[in-house]
Amino acid sequence: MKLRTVGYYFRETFRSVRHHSWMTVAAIITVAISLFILGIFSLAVVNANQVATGLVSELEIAAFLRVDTPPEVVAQVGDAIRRVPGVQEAILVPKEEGLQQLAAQFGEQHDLLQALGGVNPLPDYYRVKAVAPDRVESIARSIERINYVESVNYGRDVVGRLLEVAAWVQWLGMAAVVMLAVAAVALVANTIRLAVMTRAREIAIMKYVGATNWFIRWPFFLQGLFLGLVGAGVAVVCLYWGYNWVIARMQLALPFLPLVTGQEIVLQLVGLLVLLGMVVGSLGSLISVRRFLQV
Amino acid sequence: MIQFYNVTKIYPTGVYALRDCTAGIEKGEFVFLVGPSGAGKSTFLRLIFREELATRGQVLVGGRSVSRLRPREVPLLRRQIGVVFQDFRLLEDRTVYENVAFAMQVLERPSKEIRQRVPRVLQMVGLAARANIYPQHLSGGEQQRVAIARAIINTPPILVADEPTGNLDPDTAWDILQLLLEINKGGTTVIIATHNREIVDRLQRRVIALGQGRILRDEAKGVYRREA
Ligand SMILES: Nc1ncnc2c1ncn2[C@@H]1O[C@H](COP(=O)(O)OP(=O)(O)OP(=O)(O)O)[C@@H](O)[C@H]1O
Ligand SMILES: [Mg+2]
Repeated sequence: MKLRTVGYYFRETFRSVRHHSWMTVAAIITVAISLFILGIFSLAVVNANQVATGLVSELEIAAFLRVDTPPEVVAQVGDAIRRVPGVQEAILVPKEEGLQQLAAQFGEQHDLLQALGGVNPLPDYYRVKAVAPDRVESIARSIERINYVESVNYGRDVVGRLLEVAAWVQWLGMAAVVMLAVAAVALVANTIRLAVMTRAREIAIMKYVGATNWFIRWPFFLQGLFLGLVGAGVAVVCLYWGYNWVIARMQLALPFLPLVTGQEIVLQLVGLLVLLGMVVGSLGSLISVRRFLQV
Repeated sequence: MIQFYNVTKIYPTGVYALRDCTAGIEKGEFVFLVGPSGAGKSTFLRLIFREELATRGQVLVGGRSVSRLRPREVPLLRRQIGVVFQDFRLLEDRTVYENVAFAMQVLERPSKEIRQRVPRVLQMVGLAARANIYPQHLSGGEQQRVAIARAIINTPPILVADEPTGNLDPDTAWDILQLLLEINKGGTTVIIATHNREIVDRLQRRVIALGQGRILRDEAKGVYRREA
């Protein structure tokens, strides 16, 4: 390609875009919608993962000892817990403290111990912290096997379900994105096919005069790229506003959720969306020009 | 420059347009291709610039087999050949000047060169005064000249013209022929498919006569029809 031809390519591209303005708008909207939905799914997945890991990392394991554990064994169990690989610390919560905590929850007017007939039914338990969230499960299983440990409790269910949901969202998102991407490519291809068709005669003449395929392709390629880029731009702007709006409301309603805030995440998405827009656009254009070059 | 070796062309419809044609055209020749309608003249020309491919046999241009060119070499072949189509194939939404300049733009010629050369060639075909007019406002003879100007603008070594005098009055037809002879004097190989008996007989140039797809005659100083 020669530099002086670049001007020609851009003029031709512009001519085509102007000539088929409605199809152009439709193609841009399709690309934008597809990328917008891709963006929504990405944000949902990122947030679900973030919330899940946030919960996991604050997670502690509660290892309850049997009620009949002799007092002198309690410390030994503690040592055994601390020897489990991946355990950062293990703090004993004696049954008296547990009862106090329980009483605090019921309110101070009740004398809980008295209500229970003077016998503390609670077991001693250890609050165990893991060095890393992904160790929690294996640690819990190891502790379970230690003598005098009655049961182990951690937020397995909540976290597990959350991660499961995140995985589902991810799959669903991917499927939706693939379908939408195909639709977007098809619409871009259609728009450009229209542009190519109105110029089929011109293209045939160009070929007989000795134009190379790329000389003919470039303006359409640029048109596809243009559709993709503008579509991506629209999607990014909508995502940015939409996401910030949602986040602002979510943080009012559920302030404890560790959501990813707008700026950082959308900025990371921009690159991906723009790249995808360009791929969709240029793919669409190459598909539609192909047939007309067989002269 | 151009060689046909046992060329047969069968269209997808099953029509035999050419049968076992063998002929050679040298550099700088001026050749008439004659024959009744449907004889295969246009097909003969189309095989040269590869609008169609031979079903059997070989067509060589500049020593290269046209059917064995790689896709990226096809444009290079076509740059060797200026084509004047039977139906002109001008672009309606471009002026005479733009139609001719188009053929140079497509080859990525510098715009300065285009600005200099296009007026000169329009002058040569007698259309200098019509440069800014759209093709639909031109007479048939004028459109014919635009088509010729576009075909020669890049000075190809071969010029192929399909019925360049069809539908023209005898005087205009003769003017066009003079123009093609002029171009041939410059060293361009010129091949013309025509029905115009008067011109063929008058010029006494090489004649290849086709009939039902076969080469019936190939004579150095031929006429339109050899009476039996
Ligand atoms: N694209 C095509 N598809 C099918 N058949 C074709 C095609 N082009 C030409 N033919 C047939 O091939 C034969 C030769 O056609 P061609 O156009 O080469 O003749 P011609 O000598 O140029 O005729 P004319 O003087 O009318 O232009 C004819 O029978 C025609 O019907
Ligand atoms: Mg013909």
